[in-house]
Amino acid sequence: MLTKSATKKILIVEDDPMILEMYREKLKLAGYKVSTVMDGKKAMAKIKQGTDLILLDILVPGLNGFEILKKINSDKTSKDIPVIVLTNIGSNSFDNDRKLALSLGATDYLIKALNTPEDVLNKIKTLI
Amino acid sequence: MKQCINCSSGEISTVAEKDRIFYYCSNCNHKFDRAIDNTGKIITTKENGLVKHITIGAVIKSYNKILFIDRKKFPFGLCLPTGHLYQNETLEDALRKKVLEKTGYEVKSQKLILHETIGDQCKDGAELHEWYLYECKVGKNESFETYTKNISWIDKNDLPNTNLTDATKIILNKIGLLFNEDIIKRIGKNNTHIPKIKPNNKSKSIKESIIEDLPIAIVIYDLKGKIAFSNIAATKFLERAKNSPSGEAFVKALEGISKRASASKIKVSSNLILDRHQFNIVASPLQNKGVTRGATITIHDITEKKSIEIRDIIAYETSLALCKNQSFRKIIKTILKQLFENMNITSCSLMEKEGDELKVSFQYCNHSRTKQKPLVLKMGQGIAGWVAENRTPLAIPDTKKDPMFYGSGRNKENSLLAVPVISNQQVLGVLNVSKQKNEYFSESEIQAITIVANRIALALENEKLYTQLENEAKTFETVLDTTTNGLVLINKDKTIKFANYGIKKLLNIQNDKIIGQDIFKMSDKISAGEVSKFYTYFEKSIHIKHKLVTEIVLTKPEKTLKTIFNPIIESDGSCNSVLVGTHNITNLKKKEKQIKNQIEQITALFKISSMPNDKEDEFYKRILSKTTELFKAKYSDIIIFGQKKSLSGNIIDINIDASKIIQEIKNKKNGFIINDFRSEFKNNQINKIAVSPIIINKTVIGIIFSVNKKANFKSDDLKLLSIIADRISRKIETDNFIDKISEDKKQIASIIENTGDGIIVFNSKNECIIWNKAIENITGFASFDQYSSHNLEVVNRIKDLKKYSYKTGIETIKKQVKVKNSDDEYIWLSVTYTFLRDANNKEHLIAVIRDVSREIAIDNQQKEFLYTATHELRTPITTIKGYLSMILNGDAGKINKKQSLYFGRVFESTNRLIQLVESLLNVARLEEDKFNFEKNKFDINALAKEVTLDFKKTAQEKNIVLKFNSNDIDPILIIGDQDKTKHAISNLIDNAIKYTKKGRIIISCKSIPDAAIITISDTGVGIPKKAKDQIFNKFYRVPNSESTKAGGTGLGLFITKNLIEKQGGTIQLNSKLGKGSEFIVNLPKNK
Repeated sequence: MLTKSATKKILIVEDDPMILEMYREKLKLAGYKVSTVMDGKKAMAKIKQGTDLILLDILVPGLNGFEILKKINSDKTSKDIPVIVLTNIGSNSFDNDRKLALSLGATDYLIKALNTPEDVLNKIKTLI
Repeated sequence: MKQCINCSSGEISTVAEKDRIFYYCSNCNHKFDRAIDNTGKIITTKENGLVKHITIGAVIKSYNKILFIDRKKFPFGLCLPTGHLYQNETLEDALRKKVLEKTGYEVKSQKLILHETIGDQCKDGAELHEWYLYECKVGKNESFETYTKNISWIDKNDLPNTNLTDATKIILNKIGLLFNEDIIKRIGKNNTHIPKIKPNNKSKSIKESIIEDLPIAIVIYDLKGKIAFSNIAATKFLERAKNSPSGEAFVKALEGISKRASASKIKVSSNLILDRHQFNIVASPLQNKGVTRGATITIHDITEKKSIEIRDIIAYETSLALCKNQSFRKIIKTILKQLFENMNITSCSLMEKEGDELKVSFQYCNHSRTKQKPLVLKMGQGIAGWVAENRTPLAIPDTKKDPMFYGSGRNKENSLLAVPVISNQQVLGVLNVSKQKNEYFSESEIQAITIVANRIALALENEKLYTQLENEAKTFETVLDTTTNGLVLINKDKTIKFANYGIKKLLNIQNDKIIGQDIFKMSDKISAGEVSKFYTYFEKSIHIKHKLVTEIVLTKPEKTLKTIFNPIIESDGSCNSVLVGTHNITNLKKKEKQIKNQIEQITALFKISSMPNDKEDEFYKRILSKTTELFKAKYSDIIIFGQKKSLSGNIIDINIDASKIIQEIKNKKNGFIINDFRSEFKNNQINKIAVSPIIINKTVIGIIFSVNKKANFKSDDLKLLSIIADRISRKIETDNFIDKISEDKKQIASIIENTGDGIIVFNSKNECIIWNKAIENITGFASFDQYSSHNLEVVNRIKDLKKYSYKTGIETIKKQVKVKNSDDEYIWLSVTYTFLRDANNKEHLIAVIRDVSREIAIDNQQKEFLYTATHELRTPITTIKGYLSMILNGDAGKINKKQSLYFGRVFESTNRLIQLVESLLNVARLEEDKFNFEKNKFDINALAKEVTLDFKKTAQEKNIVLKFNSNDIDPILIIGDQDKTKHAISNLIDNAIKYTKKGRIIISCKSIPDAAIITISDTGVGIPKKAKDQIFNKFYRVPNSESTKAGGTGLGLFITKNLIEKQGGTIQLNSKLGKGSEFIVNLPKNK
């Protein structure tokens, strides 16, 4: 299991260093290759370096999550990369942010406060 | 030759009597007068009760006029006064013939033109009728008019094109007959088989048609003596012969004569008798290319030859008698004398009918008269009486042998003929003629005497008429004499022929004998100038033969006579005298002057009435000057009560007496005139005054008055003044009205200007007509033009809105728009557009505008807050929860049991905190009403099942049975927001698990016609009755319950209820404390 997942690369786009550290730790423990970016503007360059999955926050400086989603989706090389939007805005039932993200090509939409790193890891495991 | 309008044949003779000419037919004795003769008549001939022939006369008035013939309604022909179309006769030929006959004018074939067939335009009901329109064209030099002056065409323009019935009516009216639809209908029905006559069909030669139409009977026999041809007259004749007792022999004789002629090939002449008539038969062999084919026979009635001679003599004598201006009695005497002298008779007498008796009035005899009283017979008595009663001539060869012969002493009167004298179907008397014994009266003698009797009848009739006329003439003369109008008939040589009393009185002529005198030499009332004027007109009227009118002025006293010169045109066209009529129009002239004055006044008034409502000062100044001018007064003025100055600017100084007058005017509301003001009110300045109140709304508000007219004021002046007063009231009313309106307008304008809302009004051309202060404050632009130059799209937006409103019919549209203000900043405006349609269906647009930039900003802040709050509250919790879960998971190394227990409790509390935060955020969202409910179709059955499955694990952990029960396997489709519905059901199941310790939770879903029902029932703690009503309230928690332990926020049911209700659904609760609860959710399908 470890060896298998170690071959997979995950990019975390997250500006909060504590949360970023938390997910990176969790995913590293799970054996993934993790790279991170805290600025939306730099996210695309990182994505182009190659990744198997993206954890994407919406409220990031430079370029917000939605805009990044659009770019990912409009780029041939990145179009097929699964993107889990992992954010604290929006709600499962009450906002359009979730729908907007899904419509822009996000694979899933998880609210950080309602999901433990374990939950996120489980979700990732179903995707890659 | 004229034809009888009754029988279409026979010879017409005239009897002239003074100013009247009578016509009668020698064939049928039909009598008619000029009126009938000239205008034509409609005659119908009946056969077996059906109308067979119809002949309409009417016609040529002058050159280029038109004759209409409706062939459908008059299939037998309709043309000039007498006659009809024969079979196969073309219309043109018939017309030409008739024109020739009536006028002597020979219309050449190219001149009688079928002008047009207007049949197609004549629709009468469903039927199409053929109308032929003929026009006689005559060159300028041909005197057609003189030939046709007695005949009248019906002008084309007099007839409507479209309505046939009306056109027919007009034709019939024109010729003096009432329109009888029945006759016309019947003709139309019974003669539909009559072949259509084509106007241009010239197959039949004119010659042949003339033969057809000849009054002489012509029969063509073949060699075997059979009839090969007979013209109309012959056919008629032969038919008549058949009905006669001796007819058969007569026809056989005709055959014999024809055979003789064809055999001998020479002309044969013979006399035959039929029905008391003698006929001359001439048979000529009919040869064609040297071969005898038969014989042509002509039949002449020669019976009347002799009587015609007598008649001519009688006519001559009668005319002579007439010329001598003899009385009718004398004419009758002449007739009888002529009869007695020209016929071989012994006596003749006329018995006239008086009441029931017949009395002898004239008698001629060649034997000595016995002195007996004149014979008087009663009706029916004797031969004369029988004749009078039976209206039939009676011949008695021997009176002595006849039992009807009455009386003695008339032995010599042996052979007697009595003929009734009939006029207008009235027996007037009996004409008796006698011969020597056994001398029979021949048929021709009877015929002749009958004619004489008719003459006598006419004479008797005319006598009556004459008497009547004479009486009328006498009456007329009396009228002439009694009239005040002067009438004088003056000969060409200026001598008087007749003058009535009126003219004598006018000219003051005392002398009675003025006939033959020059009228003006006898009068001193006319100046030489006027006399010469009179004769100028007199001679001119003779010269031009036309009526002239002028005015002649008499002197001492001055009188104006309207004088009419009426030249008397004699029958030969000469003019030898002028009838001058005068009419005193002196009073009329005076009236005319008065009227002229009145017209002047009215004109002045009209000017006042039509004065424009211009500036007050100007208006009153002008009205006063006009009033003064109108009355020729010294001055006029207007006083409006309550003002210290009059309208002309005079200081009002009304003394007490004048005030009294004003009081009276106020009470009576009527004007008055005082022509002796000075003495009455001791006022030296005013002598005469006319005053009229100025009334508005039944209240006297002032007066207008005119002062010191030269002459006295009259009641008419007061009327005029009151009209002027009216005009002034109108002006004041109008001014008041305008003031009021402009005040209203000002008020509205100031409201619009000062209201806090911006108001813009666009007219139908999208031009801005109102741009108030508020909108200026909002936008910073002083006008729409400035604004639109900054916000270019605005004009198009208005147009689009108008189009949208026009399309949808929506009259009010509310919108929020973002525009740039004068500082180039964006501002938010809430605009309410209202569309108004004017009378011309043009769109006007009113926009009421509020600046909502602040509201929008606050709103955005709130949104921002919620957004930030969500993010900011969640982020630290995320870290806490995340790291805690990792610690508990052993990601940071192994922890001991105690550590695990403690961290587990922190984790639990963190979860509760998260729940609380989430609930609070949801409540905030709900209350802000900011989130949208979507409307998608989804399967509620599947959703409820899915949610149930989500909780399976949780329920298992608590050892609770969680079951989904559905009656329907099929999807239950509803339209609503799937996520929010899921949230609501989740909340309810979550609650049920929370408050159930043991037992079961059953979720069921079923479909009813319009809704889906989801029931969540548990065997939990239940809800006390008191709490039932409050359970859905925000932050409510059942006191002393397990809820605190269960970790509820008191927000779940509140949110659930809101989510369901905002989708149009309901939520109900059934619960028993300690036994369990049941939540029933009803969601509409919205299909």
